[in-house]
Amino acid sequence: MAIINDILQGFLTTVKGMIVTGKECFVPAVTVQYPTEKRPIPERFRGMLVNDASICIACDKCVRICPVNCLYCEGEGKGKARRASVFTIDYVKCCWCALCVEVCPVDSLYMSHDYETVFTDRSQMIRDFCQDPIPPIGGRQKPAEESSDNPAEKKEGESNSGRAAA
Amino acid sequence: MAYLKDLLLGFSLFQALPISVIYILTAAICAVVAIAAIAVVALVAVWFERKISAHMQCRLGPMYVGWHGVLQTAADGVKLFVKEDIIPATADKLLFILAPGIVFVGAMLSWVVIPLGPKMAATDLNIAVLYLLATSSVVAIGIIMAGWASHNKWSLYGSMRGAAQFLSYEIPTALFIIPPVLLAGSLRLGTIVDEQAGGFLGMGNWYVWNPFCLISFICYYVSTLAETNRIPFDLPESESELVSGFHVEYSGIRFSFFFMAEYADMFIVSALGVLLFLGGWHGPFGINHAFIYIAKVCALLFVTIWLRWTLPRLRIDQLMATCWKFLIPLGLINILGASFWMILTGKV
Repeated sequence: MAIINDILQGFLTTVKGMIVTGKECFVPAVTVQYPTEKRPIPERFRGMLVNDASICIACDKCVRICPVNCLYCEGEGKGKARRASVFTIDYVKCCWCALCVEVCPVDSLYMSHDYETVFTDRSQMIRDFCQDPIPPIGGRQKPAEESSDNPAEKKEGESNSGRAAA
Repeated sequence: MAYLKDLLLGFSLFQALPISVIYILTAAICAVVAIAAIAVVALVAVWFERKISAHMQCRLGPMYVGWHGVLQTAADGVKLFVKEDIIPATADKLLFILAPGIVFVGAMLSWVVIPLGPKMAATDLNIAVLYLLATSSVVAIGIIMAGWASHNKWSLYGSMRGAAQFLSYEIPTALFIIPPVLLAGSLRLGTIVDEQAGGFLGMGNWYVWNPFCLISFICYYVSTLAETNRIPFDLPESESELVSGFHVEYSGIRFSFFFMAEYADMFIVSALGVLLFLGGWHGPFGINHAFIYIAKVCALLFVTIWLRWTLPRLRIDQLMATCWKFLIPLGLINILGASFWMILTGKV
């Protein structure tokens, strides 16, 4: 009798398992169709580091604090007229620590929401923000400007790709 | 085939040709239809499997090529076709090249008798069931050849397991096919299907309602899962231990032959299950149509895929014990039972 009991148990447990997987069939998909559909990004997400060269005062604080030496900065002019003439970021080296963002006195450096960091050549991973000033897609989130409680406004701020658009 | 021959002879153009040419023509047409059928069945079955597995895992599966990714398999086929053809340096070249062909031919031979609907078989052989049992073993030869020729220990393990599994499970499959054959009194698939016509709601005469045939149907289904390499019996190509078993060294178009043959085999055993137990093309309320038959086959395919995404893989000793200690004795008792049933109900 034991063998018949085993067979029945095996049969019933298989059916039980199939009911479980059958129910899962009707659960909506939790995945998104990535390149066409993207998950919302958290507000403090650290994407690629970008610099708004138009307000950067070339104070060199970021270059000094950078633990991996990925930044390079040259300035022009004296006093309040001082602006960066060369400001490069080497994305090969950058470790997304955001220490430079914290020390930046004019908030010109920020972590964008752009996370699609694919390049075909290493030389493309070095970006000069004086030559190529437009920030990448994703936009800046500057706590002072965009810490509004209204979520609709936040979304708008994200879709405007940063200060260059404004 | 006879039907097609008469159809061809109906045209005055073909009447002028010698009869041997007509025979070759009809054979060629049937062969082309069989190859096309395998390709289409494999295409749809692979898509079916990928979509069902995806939805069972809360994913979407292929979505880009065609409506809900229906052409994904075709795209993959094109990709496999243009890939580099790699033969390992130490492989036995002749056997390595022959093996996928033999597996594919094994799957194709079955299409000679498997109908796609009423009167839609290449030929309605009077020993169709016996023929199917014989041809389904050809696949095992191909698998052993593939594993041996690859000169790879995982392939060899896979093919040895495959050989043990296929040859063991041939026996219960044959034993569980016997009860419906006994009841119909014929090995011809057309006759077996016609015997199941009518009854309560047009479904009452299906053999699956007979208690011995019900046992047969369930156990036939279990044995065919093993014969077609499906989980929970997919030991010859267990991905986690043998990477992918006997076809690990195959790539490109040769791999796609194995893949197509596997899905064509799945379709064939499901179709045979429908023909023997589920009334073939006899639907509810006396509707007879090829679509009803195909729908039933698809339902069985769905259960096969459903099982795959439900159960884990068995150990090899469990697999062998299921066959020799349970299925074969049960099959023999079942045949006896079905014979007594026939005497008691006065069918003999």
